[in-house]
This record gives sequence, structure tokens and C-alpha cells, in this order.
Amino acid sequence: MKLINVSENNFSKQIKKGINLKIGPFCINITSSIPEVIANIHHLYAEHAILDNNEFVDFYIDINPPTNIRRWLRPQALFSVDGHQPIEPLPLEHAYPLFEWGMNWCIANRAHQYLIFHAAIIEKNSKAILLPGEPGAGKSTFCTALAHNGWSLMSDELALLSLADGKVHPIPKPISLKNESIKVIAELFPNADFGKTFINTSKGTISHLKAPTTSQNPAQIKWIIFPKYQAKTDTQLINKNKGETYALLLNNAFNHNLFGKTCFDTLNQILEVSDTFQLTYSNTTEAVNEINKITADKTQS
Amino acid sequence: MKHCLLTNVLSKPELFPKLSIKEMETVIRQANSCDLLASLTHRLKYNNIEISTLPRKVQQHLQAIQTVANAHEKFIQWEVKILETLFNQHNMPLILLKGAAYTAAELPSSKGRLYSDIDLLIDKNILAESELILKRGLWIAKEMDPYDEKYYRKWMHEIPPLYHVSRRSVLDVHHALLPETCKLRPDSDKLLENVTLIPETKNTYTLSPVDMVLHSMTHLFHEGELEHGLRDLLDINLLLTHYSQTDNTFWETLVPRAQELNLQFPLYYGLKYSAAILNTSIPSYVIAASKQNTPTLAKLMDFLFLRALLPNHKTCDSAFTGLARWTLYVRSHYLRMPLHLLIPHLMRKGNKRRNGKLDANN
Repeated sequence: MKLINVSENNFSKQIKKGINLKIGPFCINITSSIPEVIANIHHLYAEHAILDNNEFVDFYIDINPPTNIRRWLRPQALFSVDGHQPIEPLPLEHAYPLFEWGMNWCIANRAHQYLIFHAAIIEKNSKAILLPGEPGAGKSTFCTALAHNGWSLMSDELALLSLADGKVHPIPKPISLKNESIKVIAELFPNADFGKTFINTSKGTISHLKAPTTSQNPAQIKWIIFPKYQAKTDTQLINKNKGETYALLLNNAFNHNLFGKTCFDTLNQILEVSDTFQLTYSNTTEAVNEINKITADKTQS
Repeated sequence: MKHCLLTNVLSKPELFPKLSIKEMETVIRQANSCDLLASLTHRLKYNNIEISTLPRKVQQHLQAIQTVANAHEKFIQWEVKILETLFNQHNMPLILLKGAAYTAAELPSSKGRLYSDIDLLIDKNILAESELILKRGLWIAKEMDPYDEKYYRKWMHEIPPLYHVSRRSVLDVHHALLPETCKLRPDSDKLLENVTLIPETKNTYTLSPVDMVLHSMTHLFHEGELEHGLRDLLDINLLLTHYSQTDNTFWETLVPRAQELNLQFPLYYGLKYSAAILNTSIPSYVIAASKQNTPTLAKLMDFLFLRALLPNHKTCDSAFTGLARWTLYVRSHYLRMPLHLLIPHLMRKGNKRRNGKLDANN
């Protein structure tokens, strides 16, 4: 059953005791009593499946105010995984971003069946574009634009590459947009479905966007593109040297140091079958068209 | 004692494949809470349980943690190699303690162990010289305020932790097994006289088998934070089992050596709880001999340790677990230093914590 088929009221009762949600390859048990968190999950994860109580749970996540006196003094939200707190508490009004960051922490620190990149990833007909980039380079904005133009979102910040099959596995979650990019996307796509907006977080203003189309199946990386938003520039797509791409990919991988040679071999194979580019843009629509042009022959079904 | 699936499976790995998937999930959660999932995975394999026959999700968790453990093992081997070269250049013996020793000597207790640092034992007489050599190898202490520096130098059995400038690996350099302020301090010279050369190395040592076991027990039963208590108990269990099979003088020398080193109490606890929680088989004459030094509060200690040594996970907690952990935490401070030193130290720590500048290590 999908979350969209459960009323918010019912969902609210269930999540207080813990509810299993399918998020990509993971079954995540979420417990929370914070109304804003509950409402935002119900809205943004509407298309996700609820799994029953007999399902194997990968992570037990709890996001709640502390039980001690602090809950009245300066209200906070605590994130814990199975009773342990891996990240610092945040003010209560930032509980939802904390939930998203905490979930990413679990995946990046535990799911070592994957080589995990800090990158956006989207696919069309099981052919994927990996979009790595420094925070602020505009990868979330750009992948949002592609996700509104015929591509399916696999993830806006965690690319899970399985070393067993060499494919990327989707973990579609709401896209986290920051600061100016919220306005840019709202203007480009008036129907974009945003969750609540959080101001003054450590990353500025954040709002999460429900992805218009999400991917369900593993895909093969065919393009690696480093997007870079630069005001007032023409769209520029230039080939990037593969050696340099390799080094940059390692910089963006959370756990490559665990895999040694397997990691090296897998990345080599991917680089052999992928085209690699640097994309500089200021006009998002133009950049999307450029990408559609160079990927057209390989993405036709 | 509350029923704990993980300890059952650690002592009888053949039980694991018969569990339901939700029970396997519980074992995985308990094991993760005390960093034992990789050790458990190794134990399953060692007992001929095919990981590939287990449910897919379970396989994924076990394989993921095994990847981590393999990387840790390689990393420790590499760091030890670098230390070996450095110490060899200066004709100094390299004496490894705890996890690094198990890995370098390829003992069963190293399999699937996760590491946070490397522990060394250095003769106090050549400590200054050794620190200089380590500095040349780019292991450097973080800056510390004079009080913390004094705390380590005057009272502790180790110097402030050293960090490698580029690799960020951490070295804990000990000159004794217990703080200078402890009542029952074993004499380090006696340990240094008996170190064992690791085969195929020039100048790299572990403590002797009995001393290694006694150190592991001492560490656990003086330690206040028992988050890794079960991991340490498993080390003890694996060391006892290994040496009872490979060293025929092991059992008869264990109790006399504990007396010689003033470590009768840790030995008593180590044997008792390893047998009680992990089913270690120990000859009855050894148990009987260790009981000559039963602590006065043995019943109370049973109550505390049998709770606190279980995984720090809600499925293993009983009504008194929190109290037991807290009491043992207080006890560890009391064992560490006499009250006339401890009270001013804790007050200072409390003040500093309020100012938000506490060094996590003391």
C-alpha cells in the first residue's frame, strides 16, 4: 500500500509507534511525534510504499524532542538510529531537514554494499547521467530541471553504485533545494510540488520538492557531467578528461577507501562506457536542451 | 539476566540460520550497537555457515560490514608495517597491545574486529626518546591545555594520543597497563621481560599469551564506559579458547601470573563472565584457583556486570541496566585514582564541560 492511500490522521497515529517505509532499496522504520515532520513526510513521500511489520528493517530512525527538561527550555529535535545519536540535535523547527540529513547519514555510513557518491543521478530508459558537484554548484537545481523534462530521478544527492552488478540503484527521495534555487525552480515549473520551507538552517533556506517522476529500476551510467551554475554565461558543454574525472569522482565518493582495487576496476569500467563533460550554464532551459541533444541517440527505447 | 539473542548466537553460531528473519534483524541490531557485526559474520563463516544461503537483506548487512572490517584490517597491517620500519631504523622493539597485537599476530580475536586506534607499550625509561622518533614519523599530539597535559603525564598510564599528520591514524602509547594512581598496578618491567616475538618479524612483539589475556581482562574490568564491553569480553573468550588449544602451559601459568602482577580481580571477573555470557570452557581447577580471590562484593558485581556487559541496545535492557552502567562508570573513576585526587579532577572536568572545552579522552 502506498502512503498516499493512508489519511494524514491515520499516518500520524502509526508513525508515533513507528512505521516501515520503502525508500529505494531500504526499509526504514520511522518514529516521530513532531507534527511538522509527520505532515511533510506524508506529503513528500506519498508515492512510497508502506511495508508491513514482518519486513526486515534496515534502519530504525527516531526523530523526536528530547525527553528531558530541554523540551521546554529551548525546544530541540533529536535524531537517533536505533537508540544512538550520530548527529547533533537541531532546533525543533528544523526537525524535518534533520530527518533527511540523518537518513543520508545512515545510508552513507552503513550501506557499504554500495559505492556511494555524493552526486545527483537521473535516468531515461535505464541509461543514467551522474551529476557530481561541490555543494552550491547547482546539481540539485539542474537535476530538478531534467526531472521535469522526461528524465526520472534516482536521487538528488546519493548515487548508490552496486559493485555486484555495476549499476546504480535508485533511492528517490524529495529533492532538497536551497536558497535561490527554490525561486528559480518555482518560476521555471509553476506546478512544482514543494514541502514546507525552513529558514536559517546551517545550509540557509531549504525546501524539499516532490520529484515529478521517480525511477524504480537500476540503470547503467552513460554520462558523467559536472554542472556548474555561473551567472550571465552562455551554455558551455565541454569534454572532460577521464583521468581528471576519475580523481573528481573519488573526491565525491563517501566510502571508496573500503573497496581498494574493486573500486578502481568498477570506476574504470564506467569511465570506459561513459562520456564525460563539464557543463557551465546560466540558462537552465538551454542547458537541459543541450543535454537532451547529446543523450538522444542512446536514450531512445 | 535478560535473554540476549546476540550472545546466544556468538556462543552457538549454528543457531543463526534457524532464526526467523525478524530475529536475525534483532541480532544485527544488537551486534551493531556494540560493533560486533563483523566479528559475528566471521564467526558464522568460520562455523561453515554459508552467508549466501541467508535471506538477501541479511546477506547485504553482513557483507557491508565485512567490507568495513577487511578495510580496517588492511589499514592496521599497513600502519603496523610503517611503525615497524620506523622502530627498526632506531633498533627499538615495537610492542603492540590489544587489537593491533591480535592483527599483527593473526590471532582469531582479530577477525572481524573494528579499530579506532593502535596501542603500543613502551618502556618508560625510553619514553622521551620514543616520542621523538614517533614525531619524526609524523605522529604528533594535539595541542592540550597544561592541566590536561599534566593529567596524562603525572597520573595516567599513557601519554596524550598521537595523531598522524596526513593519515589521521591514532596511536595510544602506554608505558603501563593501569594509571599510576591505581592501587593495584602491575609492574611494567615484568611485562616487558616476557614479551613474545611475532613470527617472521625482526623486532615486533606482543605481550606473552597469559599477559595478553590478563591485559584484556584488566582493560575491561577497569573501564567505565562499557559500550564495547561485549566486544572486549569476546576478545577474552577468543584468546582463552585459542591459547587453550595452542599453548599447553597456558592454563597452569594463568593464575600464578595474575598473582605476580596483582591482577587477581580482573582475572576472576574475566573468567567468570566469559564463561557466563559466552560459554567459554575453562578447566575447573583454574576457576577454583581464581576464586581464592573472590571480591568482597561479588554478588553485587554479578548483578552489575551481567547487565552492563550485554549490548547497549533496548532489546537487551532490563529495568536496572541504566543503573548498572552508571554504577560501573562511577566505580571506574574510583578505581582510577584515590578520592583526594579524583574529586578535584572531576570538579575541574565539570567546570570545563560547562565551558564547552572538554578533551574527550579524560
